[in-house]
Amino acid sequence: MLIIENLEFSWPTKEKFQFNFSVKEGEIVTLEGPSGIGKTTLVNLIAGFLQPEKGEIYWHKERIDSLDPVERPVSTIFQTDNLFEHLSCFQNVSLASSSDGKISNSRVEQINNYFLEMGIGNLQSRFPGEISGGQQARVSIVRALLANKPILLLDEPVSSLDERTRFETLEVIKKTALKYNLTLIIVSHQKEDRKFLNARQIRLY
Amino acid sequence: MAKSFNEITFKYKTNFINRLSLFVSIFLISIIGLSIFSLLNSGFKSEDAFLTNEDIFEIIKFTFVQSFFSVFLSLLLGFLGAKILFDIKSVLFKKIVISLTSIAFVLPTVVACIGLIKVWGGDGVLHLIRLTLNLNKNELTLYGIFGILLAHVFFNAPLFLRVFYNCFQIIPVNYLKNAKQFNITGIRFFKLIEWPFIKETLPLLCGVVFLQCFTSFSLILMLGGGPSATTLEVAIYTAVRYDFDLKSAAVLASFQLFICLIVILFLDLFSSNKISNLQIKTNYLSYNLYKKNTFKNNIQKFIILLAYFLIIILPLIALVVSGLSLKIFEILKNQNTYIVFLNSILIAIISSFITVSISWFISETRANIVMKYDNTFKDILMKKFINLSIMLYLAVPAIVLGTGLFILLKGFVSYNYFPILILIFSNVMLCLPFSVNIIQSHSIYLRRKHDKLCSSLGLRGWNRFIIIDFPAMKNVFGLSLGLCACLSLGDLSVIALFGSQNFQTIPWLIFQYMSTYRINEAASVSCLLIIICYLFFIFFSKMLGSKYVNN
Repeated sequence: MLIIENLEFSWPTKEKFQFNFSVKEGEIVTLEGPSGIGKTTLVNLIAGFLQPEKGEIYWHKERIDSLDPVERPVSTIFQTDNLFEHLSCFQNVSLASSSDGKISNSRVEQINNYFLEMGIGNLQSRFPGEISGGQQARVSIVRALLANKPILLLDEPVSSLDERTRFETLEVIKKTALKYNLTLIIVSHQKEDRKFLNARQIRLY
Repeated sequence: MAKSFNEITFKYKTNFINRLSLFVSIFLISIIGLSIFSLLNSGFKSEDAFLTNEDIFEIIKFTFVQSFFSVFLSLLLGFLGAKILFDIKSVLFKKIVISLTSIAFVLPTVVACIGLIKVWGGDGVLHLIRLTLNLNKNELTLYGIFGILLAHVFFNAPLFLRVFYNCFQIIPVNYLKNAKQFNITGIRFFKLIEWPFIKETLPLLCGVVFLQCFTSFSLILMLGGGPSATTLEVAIYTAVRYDFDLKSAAVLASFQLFICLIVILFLDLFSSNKISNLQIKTNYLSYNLYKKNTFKNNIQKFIILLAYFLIIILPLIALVVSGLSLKIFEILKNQNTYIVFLNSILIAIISSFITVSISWFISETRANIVMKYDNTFKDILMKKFINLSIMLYLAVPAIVLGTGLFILLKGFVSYNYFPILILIFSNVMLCLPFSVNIIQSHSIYLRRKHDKLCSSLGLRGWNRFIIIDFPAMKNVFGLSLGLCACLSLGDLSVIALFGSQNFQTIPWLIFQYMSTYRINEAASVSCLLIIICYLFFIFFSKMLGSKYVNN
């Protein structure tokens, strides 16, 4: 279980954010609330990109809020700039496998399988600028799977996509989460997304 | 072929302005070409030369070595400084560092030399190192390669820092987050995250800095260590001014021209304004991403910041402290000081107005070419020709220009007016690249914004300039005038050849004080020069600034 306990953070010009909630392993939740309420800040705090002023984050009773992002059981997919423009899809994905660029044959096979599973088997050598937004989202999911972390954070991953691609991408996300028993926390503005994912709502006020 | 919108609507403008620009470019290139020809012609006709082939080889070798190391060290310090600045969260700290390092952009070279001598020479840092290591004065001295590298780093590290910092600000924050979640650090972080954002700017920036170091004159004159540590430009000066050895001067000038032209051709390959990161407004962006401050990190930061403090900030402080002493009143009592200041101010004002006028119509011509959808071969040729006229002075030694013009014009122009004319010409050539760069980017921006609207309202020619273009460009003209005035006021190049008791400028006066080891007097005049530069900058910015125009 992921437990967020009395987590506090404040930006210099804004009032203090305070978060308290928990998410079961394998559960899908949506983070909802008006703009500026701290949804992205919360994602950054869980992922380790920001350090909380107070409070704790636990995963399976183990405290993780002092760990570096790479050491946390969390993968993050952002709304934009998920993939490095100057690297091919394969190179982007392989970053999750090893940060020094070396990759074993078994890992290459695993990457191939994930690409096929996501229906983008022919895109490995393409660059992010050459593929659609929906395909980019799928490449990001492959990378997240390869990182082999139990929690997947998604910060408005489908908000810039058209309606059809949005639901196709959400379908892929849902299937992947269920298949690999991922704990999914997704920031979304759309009620339909929650319904489609059959997710629990965490509303921030 | 179908004509583009701009060709049809603005033909009135393109024809006149383009012809004017072409005429000015031909004039500038002709003057420079003729002066080079005069010197080479007289030089190669002369029989005797003081310098041997070995001497010339040594001079070229030293010029290359000091330029290479100057670029390398400036790049290294600039890069590391930009990294630290990007990492630091305090916006106030970023603003202070950027402001302090920006001073180095506009500080006259003679003035900077005094600051460096105050901190490093005499009883300064080197004296402490000598005492610690038990070395004698000859083993570790400021004058020579050490001083030259220090001065070039003083001027160029802030340039690299500013450009790299602006490049880093373009990196998407999610790239940085990805780097954190996939543990991309060290050399891999450089390769994957930083390199893609600096690689476009790097060749042009390195090329420009190399050229500046290669043709550096006043710094080498003041901090060089005699014949063993001299560059082509200073060797030409010494050959002309002290030995009147025109043959050696001609040989050295030929080498300098050849090498610099190769570098300029190389720069032309990257000339699509990629250096424009310099003009991007610095945002002092702070992502506030969490980063653990390890002991190793803190030590690295401390060493880099200490280097910036010792090389750039401390010399500025030392200059002000030593300059604002009682000596300043002694200098102000001397009537000669006022004549020198008046000379410099008048020459700076005339040079600045000529430069900005030329820059405006050259910028308009370049904007005309950029705005056209289909550039013909003639357009491209014209653009290259105009570029050459702007950049040529970077390759031509000021001393060659001065000597060549002297040989060319003697007998036609009275010697009383001769130095003034050459100074104005060299100031205009010195300031043109900067001024054109400032005006051109704004000119293109305004053309894109206003062209269709002006066309629909029937605003053309002079009417359009007075009602639309001039009010919208006033701030840029003011900034450009201020910068040109500062550059002109502080330039010690051609005046080194023609300066005498009868005709002096402020940099020449400072150089004279330094030649006689009167460093405190030199520091005081330098402080006065900085105050005048600042007043000029403020005056032009306020005079032409407009609260309705946001640059």
